[in-house]
Amino acid sequence: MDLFTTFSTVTVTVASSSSSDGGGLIGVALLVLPFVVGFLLYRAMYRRYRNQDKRYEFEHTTSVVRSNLRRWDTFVREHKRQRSSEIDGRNEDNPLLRAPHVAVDEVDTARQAQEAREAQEPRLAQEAREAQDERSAQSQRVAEEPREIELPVTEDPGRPQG
Amino acid sequence: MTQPHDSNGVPSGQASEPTIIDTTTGQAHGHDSCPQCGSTEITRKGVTLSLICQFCRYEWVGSRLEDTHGLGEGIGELEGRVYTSGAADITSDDTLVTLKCTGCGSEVVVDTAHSLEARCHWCRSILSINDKIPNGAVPDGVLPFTITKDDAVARIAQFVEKRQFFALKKFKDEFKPDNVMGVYMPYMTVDGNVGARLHGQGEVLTRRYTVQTGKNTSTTYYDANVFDVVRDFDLHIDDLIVESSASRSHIDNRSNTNNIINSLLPFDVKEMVAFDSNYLGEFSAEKRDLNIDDVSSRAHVQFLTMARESIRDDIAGYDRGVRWTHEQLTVHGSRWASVFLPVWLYSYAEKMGDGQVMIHYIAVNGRSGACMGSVPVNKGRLWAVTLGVSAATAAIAWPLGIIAMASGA
Repeated sequence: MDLFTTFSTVTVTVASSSSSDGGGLIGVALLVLPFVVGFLLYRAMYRRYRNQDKRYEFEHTTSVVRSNLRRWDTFVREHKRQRSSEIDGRNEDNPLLRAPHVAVDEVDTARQAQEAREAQEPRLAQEAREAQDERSAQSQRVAEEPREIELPVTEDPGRPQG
Repeated sequence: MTQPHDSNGVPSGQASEPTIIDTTTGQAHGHDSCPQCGSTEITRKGVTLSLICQFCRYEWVGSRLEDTHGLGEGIGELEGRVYTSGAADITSDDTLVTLKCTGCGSEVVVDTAHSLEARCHWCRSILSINDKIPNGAVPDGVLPFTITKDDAVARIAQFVEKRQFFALKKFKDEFKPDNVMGVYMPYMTVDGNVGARLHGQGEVLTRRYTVQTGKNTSTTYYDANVFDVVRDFDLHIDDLIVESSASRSHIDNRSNTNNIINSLLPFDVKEMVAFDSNYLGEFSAEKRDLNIDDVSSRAHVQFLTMARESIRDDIAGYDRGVRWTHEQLTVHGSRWASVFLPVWLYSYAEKMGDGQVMIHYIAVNGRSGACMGSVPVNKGRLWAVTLGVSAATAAIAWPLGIIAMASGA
């Protein structure tokens, strides 16, 4: 969150709370106001001259055709009594911000990786066999409980529509 | 949550070696002559795409690469990497190329770092490097300037005129828009046939209510349904433009103003014509020094951003928003071409307090006329005005605030 957002949040919070807290909060808002005005003025003028925020907005200007869209929307739970008006960690409205886990595959790269895996398989299998022998000699293995197999969930008809 | 699986999202693994589209024009001999009479006295006709022979007045137009090589078609069928001969890897750092003049037989050296043509000093024939050489100097296509120098000067002057008050005094004193230069910048265009899968959580508001927590205070609460959200889709991306010059692609607002040149994008690259050095005329050109491998990771990140942007309309039903946790991109195929794009450039070097020099650019898109720039700021004046306005605001707001607080207590 940048300073502008922080200041805006403070101002809006103070202003919105003022109706319930009376003149006290209006007073606080008026005391903070000169700092907010000064900050916004400096920032707006600096941006106007230096244009540091300008960039190639490729995500809006490049021609893109989307196809073969498939959706999965699976209900998880109900989340009650939240204080925030939006989901925690919301990032769908900022496409430039990368998600925590990113994987990029180029077809050629994938092919090379597959070849590398195939080339390594005999060696890894040999190592696994050797490791298995030592471990099973030390302790008796206990049979695991049968695991539940989760079936693929198909498209949810109750999915919220965009 | 069960992850969706589909074989369509998996790379086919059947990609062959990179496919190369040959965009050479068969003029590797360096003698770029009039097709009618053989003269080398060729110039561009005004701001049109036509070339004209100064000797016999024959006119002709360069071919559009989109038409001749189908660069705008078949994105969905792309598999593996396809690139044009001008986007091939740079295999030589040598900027000096020796051409044998076909007019008189003498040898002429062209320094491709600065120019792609030279005049034979014996017979005055113009020798041009019109075909691809391995040092990356010659692109596949070029978008000739349509904005004249006078027009560019006027736009830059107007841009600065609107930013006088807080501009650095030295900058204002030394500002001479006539010093603007026309430069052809090296870029690559890339088409992408990609698959994207996004995974995260979304929330739908079910109830909003306010609870009284005290005599004068209240709290608003929100109830929501939480969903696991997965979207899997294909994208056909047409003509994303990426910088292919290392110095220009380094964008850092603390040390340079390269973002200004970057912000001039996009250009109408559909209109680019096969490279012919006669289009360059008096303009200078910057040499490409990045290969596809150097810029592909940046392009892939931009593909991901475009995937995220393109799906926003489909998840608007999640009125409390979506938190994407996993992004996956599979590039099934891509097609690359190199191109020179026209930029009018004015630059000013500002000496910073720490001894560093910041180059401020004011640039004009040589096709659309869009102007953007960085004007050095007189920070002392800006601070003074900011403090003055803040003080004036305080003079009015603080007494009122104190009165309000006193009445509230």
